[in-house]
Amino acid sequence: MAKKKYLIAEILCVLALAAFITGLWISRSGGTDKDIQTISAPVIQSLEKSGMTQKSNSDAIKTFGIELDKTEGVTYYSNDNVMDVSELLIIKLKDKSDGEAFRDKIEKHIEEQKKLYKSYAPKQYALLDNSIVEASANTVFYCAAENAAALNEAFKKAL
Amino acid sequence: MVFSSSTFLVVFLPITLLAYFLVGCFLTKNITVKNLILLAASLIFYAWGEPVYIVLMLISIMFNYIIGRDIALSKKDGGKKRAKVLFICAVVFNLAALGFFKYSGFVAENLGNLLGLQFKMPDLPLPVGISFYTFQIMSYIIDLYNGKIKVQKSILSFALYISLFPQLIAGPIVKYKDIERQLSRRKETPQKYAEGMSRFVVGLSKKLLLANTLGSVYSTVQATEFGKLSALSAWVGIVCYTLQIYFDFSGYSDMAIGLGKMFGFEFSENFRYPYIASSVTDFWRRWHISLSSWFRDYVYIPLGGNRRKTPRVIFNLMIVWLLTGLWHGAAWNFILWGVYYGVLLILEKYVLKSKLERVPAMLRRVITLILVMLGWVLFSAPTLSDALGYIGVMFGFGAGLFDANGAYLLTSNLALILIGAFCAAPIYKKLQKKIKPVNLSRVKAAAYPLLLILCYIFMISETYNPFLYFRF
Repeated sequence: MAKKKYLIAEILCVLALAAFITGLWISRSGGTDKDIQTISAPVIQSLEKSGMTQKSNSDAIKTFGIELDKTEGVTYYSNDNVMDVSELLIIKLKDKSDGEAFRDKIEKHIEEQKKLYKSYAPKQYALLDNSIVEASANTVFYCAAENAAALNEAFKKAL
Repeated sequence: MVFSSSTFLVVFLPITLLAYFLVGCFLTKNITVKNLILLAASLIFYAWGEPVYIVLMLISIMFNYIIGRDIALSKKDGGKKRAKVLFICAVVFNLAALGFFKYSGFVAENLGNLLGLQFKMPDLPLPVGISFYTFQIMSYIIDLYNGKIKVQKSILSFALYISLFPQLIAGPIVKYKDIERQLSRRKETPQKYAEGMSRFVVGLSKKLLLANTLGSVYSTVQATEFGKLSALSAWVGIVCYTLQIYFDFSGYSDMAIGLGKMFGFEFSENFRYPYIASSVTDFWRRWHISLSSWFRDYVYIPLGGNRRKTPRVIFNLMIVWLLTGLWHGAAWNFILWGVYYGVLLILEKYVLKSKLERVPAMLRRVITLILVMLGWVLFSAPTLSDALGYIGVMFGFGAGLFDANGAYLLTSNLALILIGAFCAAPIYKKLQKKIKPVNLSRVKAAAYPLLLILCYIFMISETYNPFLYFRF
């Protein structure tokens, strides 16, 4: 009798694991319903003392070559000092299949920046080297900053 | 949550200690209450960063607890076949969970490249500590099946064994048989508490004062183009990384062992001055001891260990080191790093053993250290080509052997490197024995609070800096 109970409990655990993975998979690939302001707010709060200021959508278009009509909203912060590569870019996409294309554009921008700063500004190069680019479901996140990992955490929690 | 954060030091730890000692030790003096407090604290600690993965851990705890009881019952009833099937199911379940979260992306990417297809995998973050707690669970299941331990009937004790916060996210990997008794019977004493606290402060200082400072030197070197990097700069960089990874990881282990001691637990040592090793074999007896002993006990020995013919022993060694590399991460550089050690150990065992014995001990140590440093280049480089490029620079294929930048890097960090080398070798222990008549207890008593204050200053002035071994 006990063996039967154990077997049922084991099967239930396996089913729970399968349901958990499936749920996680769907939730991460389905995207968020929240608007760009809600997603960005806790990340922006963590930007204190970073020296980054908000930039316009046209600045984001110029810097990254992104198509604004494919997005539901963009949050772009960067440093006014040209010798500081700190940047934060959060995009909410209309179509999640565009994620990879946006990611490629950001990565191209990082590579160009790296070429500029390599050998001349090792600390800035290190920031670019440790920058985080994530295209997940209907959002894209890019951050080059000393606390990029913490900002990424804040972003994930906000989704 | 990380140990070197103000949330942990100022809020989490004091509250947990207060609850544990006030309620668990003074008011109730009950082991169940103590374990309950520790379990609740551990679950909060784990859920702090990525709360969703607490579900995965709870499912894992439930499944392994139940299947453990089922295996024990089947063995008791003489159902050997059923016990074997259950054991295989448990191993598959645990490896599947680990494999999905840690390796599925890597496998899909490489399989896709091989077949010219594109497999889409979700971009899921790795559950913190999954490699560590999966190996702990496996030690329980394997030892239970082999009849080396008794089944754990208390789900509270079992859950505490898996989730105990001091060693949950970056080890040491505690085998169930080593902690079994302590889960139901352990003694907290003021002496143990003081020892644990001092050990914690030592670990925190290793991380905040040494590892992070050394790490910034290596980051600067890594950011320089290979063509503009001299051999001297590259060696300074890798020496700093060699010291950084030791202080980072052994610092975490010190904190884990110290915290465990404060709560009455005794964890095994994870490091024994690895950089004074006289051979690669000796190095792996001193570095991440809990991982190498896990692979020895649960992979190498079951495969036949040393007791087989030479080709089979070589095969066994390569399997173990391939898995050791893979355990560290789903990337080719980690696999190559594991294979590198497999080849070195085989060469040492079968080809160079008699020759090495004739080499003076000091020279053997230097050779070992250089081989370990070359290994760290493979380990730390973002890609394989970066690693090979960096090794090339170390041997003069960059901007020559010496340059002004290299000299500046060396002179400006020499004091730091020397302090690091002093702390990474048992010099202090040897000195202590020689100057025994002098009572150092007062100096020590003053040094620990001072170190703690210094750590706190470093902590609030630094940005987020997680432990290197967290990603495993």
